[in-house]
Amino acid sequence: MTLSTILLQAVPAAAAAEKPLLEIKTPEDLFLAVILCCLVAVCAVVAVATWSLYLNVKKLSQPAGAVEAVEEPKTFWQSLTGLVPLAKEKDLKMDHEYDGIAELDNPTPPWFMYLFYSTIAFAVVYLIGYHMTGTGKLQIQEYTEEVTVAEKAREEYLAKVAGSINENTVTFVRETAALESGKTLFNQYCTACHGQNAEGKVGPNLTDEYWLHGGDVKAVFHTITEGVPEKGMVAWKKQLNPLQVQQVTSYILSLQGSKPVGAKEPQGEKVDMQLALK
Amino acid sequence: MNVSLEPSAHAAPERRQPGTAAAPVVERFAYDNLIVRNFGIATIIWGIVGMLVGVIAATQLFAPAANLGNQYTTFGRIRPLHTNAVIFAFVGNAIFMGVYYSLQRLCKARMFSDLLSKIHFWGWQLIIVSAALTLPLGITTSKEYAELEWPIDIAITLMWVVFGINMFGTIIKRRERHLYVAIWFYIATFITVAVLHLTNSMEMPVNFLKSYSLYAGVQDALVQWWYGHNAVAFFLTTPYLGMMYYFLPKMANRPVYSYKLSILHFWALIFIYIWAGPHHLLYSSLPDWAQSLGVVFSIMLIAPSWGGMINGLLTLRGAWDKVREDAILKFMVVGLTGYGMATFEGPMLSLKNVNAIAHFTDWVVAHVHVGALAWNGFLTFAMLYWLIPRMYHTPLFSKKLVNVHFWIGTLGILFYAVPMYISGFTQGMMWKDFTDEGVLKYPSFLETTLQILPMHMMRAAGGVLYLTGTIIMAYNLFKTMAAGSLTANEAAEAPALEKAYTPTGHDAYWHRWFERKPIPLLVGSLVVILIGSLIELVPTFMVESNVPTISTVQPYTALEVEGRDLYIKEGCVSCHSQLVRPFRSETERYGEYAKAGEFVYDHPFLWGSKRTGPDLLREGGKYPDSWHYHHMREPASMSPGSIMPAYPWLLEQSLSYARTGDKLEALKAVGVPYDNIQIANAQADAEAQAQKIAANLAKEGIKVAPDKEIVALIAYLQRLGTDIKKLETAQK
Repeated sequence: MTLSTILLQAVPAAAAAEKPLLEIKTPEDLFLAVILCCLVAVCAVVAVATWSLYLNVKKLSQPAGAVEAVEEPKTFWQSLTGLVPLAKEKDLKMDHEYDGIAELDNPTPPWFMYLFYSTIAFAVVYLIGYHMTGTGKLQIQEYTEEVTVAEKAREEYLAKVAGSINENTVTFVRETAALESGKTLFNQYCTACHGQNAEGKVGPNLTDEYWLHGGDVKAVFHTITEGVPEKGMVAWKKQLNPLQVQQVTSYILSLQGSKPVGAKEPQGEKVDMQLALK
Repeated sequence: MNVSLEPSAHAAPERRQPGTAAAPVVERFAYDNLIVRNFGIATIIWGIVGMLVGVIAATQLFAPAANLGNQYTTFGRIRPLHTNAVIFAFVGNAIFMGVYYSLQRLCKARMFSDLLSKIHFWGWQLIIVSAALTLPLGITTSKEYAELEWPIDIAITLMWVVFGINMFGTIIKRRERHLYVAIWFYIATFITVAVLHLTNSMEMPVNFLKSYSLYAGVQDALVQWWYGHNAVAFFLTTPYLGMMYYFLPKMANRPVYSYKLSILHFWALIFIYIWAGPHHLLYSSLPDWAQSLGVVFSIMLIAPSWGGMINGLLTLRGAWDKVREDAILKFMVVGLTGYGMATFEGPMLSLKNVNAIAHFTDWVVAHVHVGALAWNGFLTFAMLYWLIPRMYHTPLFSKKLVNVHFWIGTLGILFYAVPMYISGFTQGMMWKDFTDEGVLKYPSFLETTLQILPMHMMRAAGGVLYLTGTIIMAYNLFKTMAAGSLTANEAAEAPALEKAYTPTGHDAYWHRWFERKPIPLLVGSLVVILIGSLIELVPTFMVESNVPTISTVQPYTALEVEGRDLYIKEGCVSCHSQLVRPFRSETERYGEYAKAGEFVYDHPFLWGSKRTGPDLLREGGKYPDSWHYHHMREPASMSPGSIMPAYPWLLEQSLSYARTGDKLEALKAVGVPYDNIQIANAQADAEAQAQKIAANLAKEGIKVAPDKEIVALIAYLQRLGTDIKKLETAQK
């Protein structure tokens, strides 16, 4: 039982029978409640401001004791900065001091107030946009869209470059360029577990005839694409496209019988590689 | 108290109304400079220590061997030592120095009690020493800036109360009717830090040096960053604004620019700041509404925080010629400017699209250091340079060295911050980069780390420059002290306050009422900071839908709890986050994004705030046990070029499971549903699981006893993020 249900149950039975005035169940409800509180607060501020404005106007409307000095019109810059000439500073000195520190009765700089008001306006627009009108995308919505767009782009790209290479159509390629590219990919992604020369470290030796998950082109392609999660072999299909997997597969198989230094002991079943690479 | 009463023989005190009958009675008393001096010396010493540890930590980020192969000096353990030393020892002592000096003078009264002052001073130093001992030992709660364990938390509370009594005692017996703006800031600091510290430190002890946070997961994260961000607000900002309001007009001999601006920005700052905490948790599993509040209140914070800066800079209006000549004022100006930059950058960083790049990178590190090095550091240096000669009645030993310090310190800040900005932006963009093929351009996290190493070297160089400046200052100030002699008790006099008071003229202004009434000012500040706190914290605890439960998420096993504690002990959270954000770049790299329901048993949460290494939320099952074993033994063997330090001691140190049951018991008390059988069998269960892992390792040719720490840590790492995968499997 959560605190909110306890609170709701604490309402007298008669009232509880009806729907409570404000039922907070979801974050949205709560958010509305917060907005409501903010609105009330804003109204209070406006009321106070109106009152103080009224007092000021009342003061102004009373007959002035002395004729006010004629002020020169302010330039835009002056009205933005609100700075009083230094020579007039002594008129602004207030009648108190703290340990020799005096305070001036300068107004808050107008540009500063404009900045403050605009940030408040930004806040209100932001909250309305994200939580009331739904024009702003909340994070999960933003994520879903990002992924959908990327998936579509990726499919289009794959169709263009990798054509129809998949587990069933993959073949062992022997072109130098493809093997070079396979070697680069192997060095980048595979050496951490299988060693610099595929001699096997945490992962198995890939240069002998013994295979844990099959040693023909199709099996190796499948292992690389889907991974063997329970043994720590990562599924690479999100990092490598089918063309690249074909290249890595071919490179690995081209290492057959290379007998690297420090080769790991055989694991899995012996596969007739002559046959597998036909 | 040595106060003598006698009628004033001097000229009439200020502001005596003409025609008042009786001459006011002038009281003679003395200001306590000794306590100010003591806090000043502590500031200097701890400042150097904190910065030195910072340089060592920075060095380890490109040369992990700089830990000398020692577990007590390894990054994960000294990083919290560095932040605590700088925040609570260097800045903390500087706050007390500045407050104890200015408060006495602004209240025209000696500190309330010399004994409390003494207790406060030695108590605080003792807390710092205990922090310096426990953190390297790995005794930590892992909550950023609140790492200290519960007995020290209690000591902090007591010392804070002592400080409060001493402060309010002084305010109550003051001889100045109105409280100057500096004191408003001190009062708000006192009450808010108390609220923050008490709320965030709620923990369930297991034994004298181990506890679990009362809150779990999302709630723990929210409380922590509500605390963490407001530690910046109410420990690193408000007291310094208060001190700026006292020391800057004094140093420049100028009136404060605008009284109205002080009022406006004081109340606006303390009201708005407290809401901004959730901006540390953007794109996390914190509910959207709380994140949005964090964003908008951070934006609204720009003007109120700039209020202090412009009031300071405009106070210097008409005194810029002095700034040119006086290095102390130069420190103030750079400090204020740094504050202005940091408080503009903060709100910008809380915009979601900027945060998406900057969060978890060095950008944030640069941001906090501009604040700390410029604002806190430079203001502290200015205060020290101004105070010490005054209290010792002698000119500074060398004005030239002050200038040298100023320039070397400024260069230090630039050398520190600029590379960190570049590094943060670079790394943030690299994490997000995709190739045309729709795969990550830098799939290996390490590649992004290695890219920024040159920037880390420059940052360490910047740190060395800054530290050098501080050492030069220490030399200069100690030479000054040696040349003069301290006036421990500085004579002063002021008339006592008359009981009856009818405000007239300007004193009838509404805010002047608050300034006469310290307790309403205290209560007013409390109310203002509680509004935001309650609106953000309470709903997150109350509303069930904020943390949707996930059926497959289960409590950690006994061994995993031990492993998790090791993870906490070694400070792994300093470099590894456990929070996959809902970005395509992150779900591609790490796996499914983090859900609130995954963390319900995480006391404390371990989301982290900076990624030096990859995220670990989905680490479980990614690699075999042996990979983790080798990776901890010699990281470079698994990840060539890695800058992670080696953890050979984990392979050697044994772990006793005798107290595992107590741990489960404590976790049960904070809401993890362990039953009595699990608690009773904790030790046996842990040992059984450890045996299995050891056997598994043996199969891969690694001989390790099941009671070694590494085994428990592997158990924890292999569990991370696996519960939610079970759900996926079940759904299939």
